[in-house]
Amino acid sequence: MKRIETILYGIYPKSEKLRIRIGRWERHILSTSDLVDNLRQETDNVENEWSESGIEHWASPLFNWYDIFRPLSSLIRGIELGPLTRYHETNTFYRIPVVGNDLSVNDALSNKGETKDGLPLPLYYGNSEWSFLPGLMTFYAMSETAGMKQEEFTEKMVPVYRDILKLTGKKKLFVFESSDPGQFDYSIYKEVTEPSKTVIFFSKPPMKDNLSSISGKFYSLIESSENPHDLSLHYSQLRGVSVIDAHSTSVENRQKILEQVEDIGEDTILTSNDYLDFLPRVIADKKVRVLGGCSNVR
Amino acid sequence: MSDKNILVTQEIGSFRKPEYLSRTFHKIEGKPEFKDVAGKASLETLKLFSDSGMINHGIAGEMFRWEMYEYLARKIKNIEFHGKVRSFDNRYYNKGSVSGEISLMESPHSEELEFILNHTDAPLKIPVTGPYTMADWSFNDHYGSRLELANAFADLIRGEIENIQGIWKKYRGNEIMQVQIDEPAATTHPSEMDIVIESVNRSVQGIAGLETSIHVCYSKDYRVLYDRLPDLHLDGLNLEYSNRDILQLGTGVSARPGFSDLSYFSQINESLNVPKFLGVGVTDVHIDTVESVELIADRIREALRYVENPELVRLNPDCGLRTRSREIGFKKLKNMSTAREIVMGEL
Repeated sequence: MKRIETILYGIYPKSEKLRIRIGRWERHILSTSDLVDNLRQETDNVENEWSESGIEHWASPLFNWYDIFRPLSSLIRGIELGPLTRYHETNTFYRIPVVGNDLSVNDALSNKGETKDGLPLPLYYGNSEWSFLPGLMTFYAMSETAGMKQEEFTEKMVPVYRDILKLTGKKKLFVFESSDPGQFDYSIYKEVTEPSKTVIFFSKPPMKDNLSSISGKFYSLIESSENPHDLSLHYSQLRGVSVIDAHSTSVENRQKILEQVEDIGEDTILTSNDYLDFLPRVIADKKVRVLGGCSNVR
Repeated sequence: MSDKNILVTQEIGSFRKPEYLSRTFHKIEGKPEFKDVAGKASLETLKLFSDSGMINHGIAGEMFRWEMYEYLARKIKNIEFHGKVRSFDNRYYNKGSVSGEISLMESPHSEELEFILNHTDAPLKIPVTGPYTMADWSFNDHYGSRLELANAFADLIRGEIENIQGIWKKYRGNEIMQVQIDEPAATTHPSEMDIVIESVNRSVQGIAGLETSIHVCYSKDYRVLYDRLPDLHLDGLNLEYSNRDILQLGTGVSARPGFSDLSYFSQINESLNVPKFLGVGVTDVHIDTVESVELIADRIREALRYVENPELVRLNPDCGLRTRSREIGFKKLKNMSTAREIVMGEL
């Protein structure tokens, strides 16, 4: 039997209760320490549910992240929060990072304090070994960079990402690339952590040339596309497959997913085609149970 | 010159509800007393609009509607709500899931329109949420494509417009009925402008006796919309322009750079057999600062530098004034009306 693993990533929808708590904290009715307790509690609850559902890997539900760049923008010296900007083809908005010249991790991360805009750390609640970071190509493409070239941005950010893993004690890296494909050498991530402990997710198919300098295998390369090419096969230990639709409230059928995976005939790691924060929580929970039910690693 | 068809002043749609209505809205909605309370607020708002000197009284500030998406979606068969989704930061909205063929279960606007028509003879403009925005803000779990979904909303909206036109005729006979298709999402995905145009056109297709417009606001680039003016089968556009403007006085490109894309609008508009009117946002609904009469007058003069025919220029706030208090909203509308009078005197 082929191995089927599952992984969740990015921001997970909050419960109504936590959402209200954060609203109260924003209005200074709830203290930061009480909010931290709530964040920990909800993270524990969700991670227990995920585990019981059969999910093997996750990188924290990121309940204290307002979007995939924030609080990173708040933790990196040289980046400011810009105006609300539409996130791809959705009705969801993010604060665009406004990137300056000198980039480094600020003290808040190591002090486990607060971000510049007050959201309480740690960056990753829960006990997972995984970290989640937006891909550097995506970070660049979805920021205001005032003419900085992508190569320069990448060069400056790789040490920042390395520091984030070091300071948060995370061993594994989930990279989320959601921007349009362009020239980018993905082997750069080996300077952040070992490829065998790295998953890169592509919302849009990367150019094959971008992968040609990769030596060794990543844990997985996952494409969102319904018809992915075979990069995952060549460059990763497990073939990554997106089987859960994060932009539809129709809940997938487990049996159909298993048939799809059986047709692939390789060891696979299954996930969603985007992070699940675009869904109502109740639907996300149902989809996680379907995804976890596909795993055969117990 | 005091022709009421020139530089017509108008609201975009919503106005802040009085507290007695906003506090009880969800508790009494659907109950017999709702009409009394929303009606009282409507009458007060109509008087406020009249006192401000504004010519077109819209639909009395949308006192019968809570907001523009869920209000309509809740009246549509096969839209299900599973919970809130994030809009930004810690702000959420109820995003409906389209799970089957959609159709109206009840008219969303009949009661409101009939009440208003019963109580005023003022010119009115009825805002209706547009098909593209409804599609863009919903999950599509049924239709094969976003175009199909938007067109399904368009058919449903066309039915509602025909329905309210029946009510309109009872009170206003053959007087033209003004309908504004609200499409705040219209230019958010430039690659989908074909869907926007097709679905918006379809929502008013074949209905005689209408004057139609589209409201778009906070677009990154209105030129995406202006490029499609020849394909858009509506009579006019009501847009936001003050939020992208500055608060200093003056006219000319350097003084009012936010208005400069109106040259692009005019260039295309003047090439049309029947040019479209343009409602220009001359007061910002996102700031409490009440723009002075002089500033608003400069904004009007600036719009007229590009759209030289004043019959094609209308004046409105950028968007619904529900974002501001009723007191500030009133002052903004009053200054808009006074500024109009000043500029009218210069024509």
